[in-house]
Amino acid sequence: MTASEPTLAGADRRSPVLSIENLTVELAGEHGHVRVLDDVNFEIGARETLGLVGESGSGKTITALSVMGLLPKSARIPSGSIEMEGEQIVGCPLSDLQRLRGSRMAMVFQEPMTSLNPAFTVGDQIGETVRRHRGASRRAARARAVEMLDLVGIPNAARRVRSYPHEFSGGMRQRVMMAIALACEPALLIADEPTTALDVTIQAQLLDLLRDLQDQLDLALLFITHDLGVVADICDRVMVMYAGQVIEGADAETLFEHPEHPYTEGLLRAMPHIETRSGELFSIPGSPPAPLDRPPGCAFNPRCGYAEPTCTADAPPLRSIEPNHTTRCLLAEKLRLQGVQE
Amino acid sequence: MTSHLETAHDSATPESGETPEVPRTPWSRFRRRFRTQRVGLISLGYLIFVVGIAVLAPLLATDSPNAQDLRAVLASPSGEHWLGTDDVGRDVFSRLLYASRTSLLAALLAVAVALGLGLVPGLVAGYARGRIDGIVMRIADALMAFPPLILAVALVGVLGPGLTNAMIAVGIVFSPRFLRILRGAAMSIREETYIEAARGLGCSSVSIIGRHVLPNVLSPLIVQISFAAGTAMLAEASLSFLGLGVQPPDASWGAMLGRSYRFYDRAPWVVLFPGIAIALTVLAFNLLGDALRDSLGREER
Amino acid sequence: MTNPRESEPFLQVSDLSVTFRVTGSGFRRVPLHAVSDVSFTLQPGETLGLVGESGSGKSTTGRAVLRLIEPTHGSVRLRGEELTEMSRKELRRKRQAMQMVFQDPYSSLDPSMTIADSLAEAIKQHEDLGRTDVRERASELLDEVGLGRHHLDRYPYEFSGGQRQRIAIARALAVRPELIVCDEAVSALDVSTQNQIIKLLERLQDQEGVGYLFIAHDLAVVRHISDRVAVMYLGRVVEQGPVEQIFERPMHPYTNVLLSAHPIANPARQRGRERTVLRGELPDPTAPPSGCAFRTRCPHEFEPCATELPDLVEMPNGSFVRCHLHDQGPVLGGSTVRVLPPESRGDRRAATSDETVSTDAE
Repeated sequence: MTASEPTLAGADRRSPVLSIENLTVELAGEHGHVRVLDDVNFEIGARETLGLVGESGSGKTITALSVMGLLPKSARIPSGSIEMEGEQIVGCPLSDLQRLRGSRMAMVFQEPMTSLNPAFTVGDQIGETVRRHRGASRRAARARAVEMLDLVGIPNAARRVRSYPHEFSGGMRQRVMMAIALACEPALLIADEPTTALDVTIQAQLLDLLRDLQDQLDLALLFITHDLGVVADICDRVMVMYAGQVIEGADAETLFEHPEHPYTEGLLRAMPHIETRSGELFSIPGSPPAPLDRPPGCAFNPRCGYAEPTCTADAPPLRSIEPNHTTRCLLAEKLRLQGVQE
Repeated sequence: MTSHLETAHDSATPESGETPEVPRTPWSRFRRRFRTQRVGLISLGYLIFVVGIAVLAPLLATDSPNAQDLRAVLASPSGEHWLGTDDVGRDVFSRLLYASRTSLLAALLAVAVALGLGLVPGLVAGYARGRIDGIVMRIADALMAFPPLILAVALVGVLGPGLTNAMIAVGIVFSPRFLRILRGAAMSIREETYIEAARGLGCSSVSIIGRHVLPNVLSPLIVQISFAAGTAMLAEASLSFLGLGVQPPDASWGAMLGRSYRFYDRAPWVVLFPGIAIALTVLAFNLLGDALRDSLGREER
Repeated sequence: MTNPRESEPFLQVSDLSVTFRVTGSGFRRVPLHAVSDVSFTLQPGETLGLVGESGSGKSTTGRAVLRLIEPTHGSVRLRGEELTEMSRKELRRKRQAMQMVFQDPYSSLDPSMTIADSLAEAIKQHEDLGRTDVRERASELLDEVGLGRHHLDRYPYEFSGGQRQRIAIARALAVRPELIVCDEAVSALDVSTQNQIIKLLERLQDQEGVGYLFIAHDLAVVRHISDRVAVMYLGRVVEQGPVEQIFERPMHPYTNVLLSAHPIANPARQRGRERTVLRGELPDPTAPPSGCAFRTRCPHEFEPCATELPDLVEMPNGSFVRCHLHDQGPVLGGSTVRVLPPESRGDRRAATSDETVSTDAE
């Protein structure tokens, strides 16, 4: 789409759009710095959807904000690298970040109500990115806005471009957010719980739309959610986060059918089903540790039904258990964990 | 809840017995936050100092505030008269100390009147909405449509001059501001789920206003009191300057200023020192208000 | 689960309607029919799930039952007593038999009150106890919801969302209600915490025999907890019946679409699924479509839909459905053409008409 369209028609190996290595993030708190993200590694390629799953506080959003360079001032990145199309983001000047944001990478948030400026028409807000990053004229920006609204499936785009955010419903606003995010054809879209606030019917529409857009624009998609149903629907690969760490990563089917970490198994078991009525709902006992009192060893061990004395000894590293399947569980080989059936 | 940075801090284990490190009561939370507000602390210190002076004026004064020394009219600051004397030879330093009493009491009275008039109608209007709100707000709007000083002057004209009447007038003029702030706060609190929960439990409106709305408007209220005290002090100065406030020979800072501005070219100290006292005190009230605003309110996550 | 023949039901809601006046275009005040002719019954110990998209009127229904919002029309009878005609004072006392647990655990507790104070306020509404007895009862309540009494003197901000929801439940229990309206009570919580709260609700139901009006948009949760389910669309119940029937044999096209939109946490299955993605969005509630409100998004719209509002008719499986497919649609082998279930569900049989099920509308 842009200047350097890779001409790798049949090639499997493409350089990743986003590549994160050993990323660690700390937030300043009252008692010094608290590690909220610990040794995160992953890559996303074009046309790929990577799901980031976990409970609130697990570090999903911090990961996204690190990539966008939108971490709060109290945060620091003591180690690690984030490369966006080969360009290092950690420690780069703000001007570089501002050039990348919107043009090469973009983000949509959970609240479509508060992410739009109520004082401007949606056309202005879409056009603004185009004018800023591409120096487009007012007229060209307006034309692009209409084109984008049409692309995200808003009927009567030419008329709706003059509407204000409050004239749109929640689902439509999220479409507008996507139009803004994608107006400059970024390579990477980060979607942070984009459908959580919406009804399932609208969620289904938006997930379909995201899939279409990904095909049309060769997007790399980082999809953050806590809903395993949504993950099953849209993600190619999944990484499960717990207490600031990735604890398991695999392609979606493998992860759901053969989880290799007890926490993943717990999450899968806890999902209530729409198709059958389970006898009693399962819940993982306890709750995630606060960043300040992480237990020694594996962060999940106090809640883990399989924990052994070794689990409290050393913090287990993320390791490959099979090709393309990583886990942080020391006992993964020993355990026969249950995935979803069929 | 819009925080995208929600950390796991938020979820201690349900059954965990240990007390968290964070302070327990809203008061201790306020103290912890206020301690970091340097400007606010200095302002508070200064205001305590002024109150101390007002209380201890008889002990600190070098002279009687009303004693005239006609041999030393408009005398410049010296060892005998630290801040000089005024046009009838009264010691400016001593008068300034005594005047702080009047000025502070005047501010207190005006705020009390404003609060007394604004508190209940504001809370009720904000909570009940509808017709009550309409009536209360129209009255408040009518009061606010007058230029404040002119309204105060008119009220003093009706009530008669004198410090108490002047400050009642200022209080009446200020009351719509309290009313509006309280109404706004009550309106937003009314939408909170715990209000609905209290209604669901069978609590009456009066008890909901007293128990849930009032405690939760305290933060903006305290901040507003601090600002209003500063403004009331200025209003008192204005009215006394016009001769409608404190009556001679008693003095407030504003009255001192009003009496002596004619001599400022010959004896600048008679204007300068009361002026500085007013300016600093009003500033301190405002800065304290800012610091309070930053320290009160809910913990952010 | 219930035995409606025995006596008057604990809660009987008939033809409940709520109309708001809202400012439409050009500052005209236009009526918004948030809830229209909703009827159901509920017994202690029973759970009725209320589902639908946002804007379907399910929360308004819950609040109108408690008269936290005044119903415009219809009747709410609690143990045979008409709530809609009571004086405010009388209502305040009677209402204690029904309590509500809200969605947002962060705004449902007064931030300026300790947990003990919040609970004490509720306890004192119900019984006249001395100081120490109130405190004793408050700690009993905390025990009951799985929190220790050492939490009594803490403030809400010190608790996580799940813990706050437990406290909100404890507060509701303080007045010993027989019915709790749960308005999206677990929606804001992570799945593990959500399940802990659901288990708590189920345990309370077993122990105290509380009934729930369970309002939620998460169909899986509703399926798990409900005995009966009512599906709402634009203020009206479009289908209502036993939980198994609603989920296994949805009769209304809307129910079918809702079920099909709910993603299944299984990539292989979710991707292989045949789905009906609903077109469009909820119509403007101040100008609802004529006839059947769902017709503008319905894949099966046919002639009478635009002109006639379908009645809620009883189906052989015990469900009630508001759809012309079932009263005027084509008939096959003596029975109306059934909307296909979202996907093949193995070889489970359809319920037969002679199966006894509680009926609840008229």
